[in-house]
Amino acid sequence: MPTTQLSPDAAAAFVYAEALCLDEQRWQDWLALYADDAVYWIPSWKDDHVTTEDPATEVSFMHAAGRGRLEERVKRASGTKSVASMPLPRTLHCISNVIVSPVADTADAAIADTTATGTTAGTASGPARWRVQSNCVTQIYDLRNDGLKVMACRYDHLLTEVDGALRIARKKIVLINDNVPTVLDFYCV
Amino acid sequence: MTAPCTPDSSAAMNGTTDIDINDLLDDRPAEQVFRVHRDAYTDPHVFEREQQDIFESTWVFVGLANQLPRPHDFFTVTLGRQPVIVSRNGDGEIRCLLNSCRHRGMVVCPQRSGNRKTHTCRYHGWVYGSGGENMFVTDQAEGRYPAWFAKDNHDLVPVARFGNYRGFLFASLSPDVPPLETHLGDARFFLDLILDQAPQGLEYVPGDIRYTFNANWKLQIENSLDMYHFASTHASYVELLARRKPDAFAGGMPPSPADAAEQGTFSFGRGHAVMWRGKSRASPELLARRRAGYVADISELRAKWAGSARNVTIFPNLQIVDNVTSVMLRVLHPLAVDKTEMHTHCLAPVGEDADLRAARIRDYEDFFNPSGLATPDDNVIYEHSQAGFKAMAAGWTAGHLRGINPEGAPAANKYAQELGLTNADWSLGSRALGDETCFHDAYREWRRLLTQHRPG
Repeated sequence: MPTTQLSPDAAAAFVYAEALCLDEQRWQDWLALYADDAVYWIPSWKDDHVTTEDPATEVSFMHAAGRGRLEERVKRASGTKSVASMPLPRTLHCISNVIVSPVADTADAAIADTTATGTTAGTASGPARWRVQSNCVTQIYDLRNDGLKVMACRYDHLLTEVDGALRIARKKIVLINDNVPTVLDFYCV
Repeated sequence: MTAPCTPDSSAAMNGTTDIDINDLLDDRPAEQVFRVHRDAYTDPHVFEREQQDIFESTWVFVGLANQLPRPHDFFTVTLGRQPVIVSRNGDGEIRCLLNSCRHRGMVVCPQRSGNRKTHTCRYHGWVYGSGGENMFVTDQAEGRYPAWFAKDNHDLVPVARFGNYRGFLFASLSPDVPPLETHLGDARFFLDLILDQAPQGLEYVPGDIRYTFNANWKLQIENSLDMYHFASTHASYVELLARRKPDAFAGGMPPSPADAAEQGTFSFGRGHAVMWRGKSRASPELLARRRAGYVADISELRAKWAGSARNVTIFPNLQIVDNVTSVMLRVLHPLAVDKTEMHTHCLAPVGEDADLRAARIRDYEDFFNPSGLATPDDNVIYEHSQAGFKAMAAGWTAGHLRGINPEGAPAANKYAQELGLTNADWSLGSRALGDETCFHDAYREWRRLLTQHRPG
């Protein structure tokens, strides 16, 4: 078992803080929450109630292996070359139903491991890891047409300690309304 | 010759429902004029005509036979606005049936896909087999039906025409269409090139992607054949590629105009067209691995073309982009004059090596989908175009002219000759040509279909 405890309040505070970074467009602060080798994954759906489970053999909306791929998306969002990002929408992330559970061994880690390709990280002797599940409803106000759209998601964070600070090792986002209006990017979910 | 770019008004702009389609397409080849009126993209009455006379009257793509591997497998789609079930019956035959109970019209099968020996209407319990045959009418004996009812057919109604071109399934709600192979014409060669890469057939990689954009469907038809937009619309994507470390399979940059890679188009009549590029981003290693996976008896010529990048449009609703690094298949579903739904798939050879498959999926996700690094920019461009079309006072646009002037064009096309494409229009030039004449065929087919039963 991890020697360090993560209280439900602390877990929720972390996820709220991530959402605030997105809503306030503090992209560098947002990126800093992710471990260098973090995996950010939005599976697609293959049946009415079954998402894709293996990014190596099935299609995802997004599968970013490593923070570098998230940095690319931040560059699109903050630069002037992506018409999809100009103007950026205003967003409001509302998070609820936070559940935290310690990840004690490889079996638990596999549950939380969003690559679904298996991992040996997070052994009992490795760094402490916690699984934080929550719901997130994002209100997205599109300045191009004054339209408000909603994206409803289930978040599944795998948090770890890096140099004494809490960092995201994996984040899986299950998009409930998967018929996407025009654009889906990291700030929408 | 009239001044082709002077703003003017036409009968189409008088605000009545009495549209003359011929007013919306100014097609004068001898004068090198080709113009599409803004109303073609914005008038709801035009959209109604398109639904009836195009999507519900000609061959449209419905899916892959590979989606139905077992008896009784089915999926549901719409042809224009009309719901259909595509189902494999117990004998292994694929049927395409109107998804509407013969009793009172209810959708019999509300699921997207599945496996069912029977489809039971949940309203009054009429039962149909997986081939559409009526198997049960609830309380028929007690129902005091007229005598003729027992002799009448109550099966789900099949579409007028259903065709299977090497696993690509097409349907037409009108019987007034030529055989599917005739309809596809020489465009078949470019479907064959994709099939040539898949000795065991093609499949959709699991994972459904659907998205919408608030713009007219013809913008999607044009854009997939439009090399001209790539560098500007996808500047962000190109910038990100330039910053990446080269990948073993597909990490390089797209060939630049300065690379002198040739670019060309073919148009086949009936609206189908191809825009091809002589090179792709694929690494030599990937090209070699792909080549090893092609059908054994592929010719060197066909292998060369299979290793080039091609965007295929089969009018009116199928587009396949073969970037070599990945292959994307998308189906257009126009919902309104200013709203279109897209269904896209990562298309792959059955039995592909695991490492190639994983790289294919990442490459597909990287560019395509509403969550990729390029397609969202296209989607937003369409919406800006749709918004801009409301500037009716600005008159005709000049968006269909690149490549129309034969001066400076090669006298012959060695590629048409080597491929034996005798019934195709073509353009050929440098990467910077950005030919727009490859859109013309779709608009001529559009006009033909909209006017064939009601001139004007």
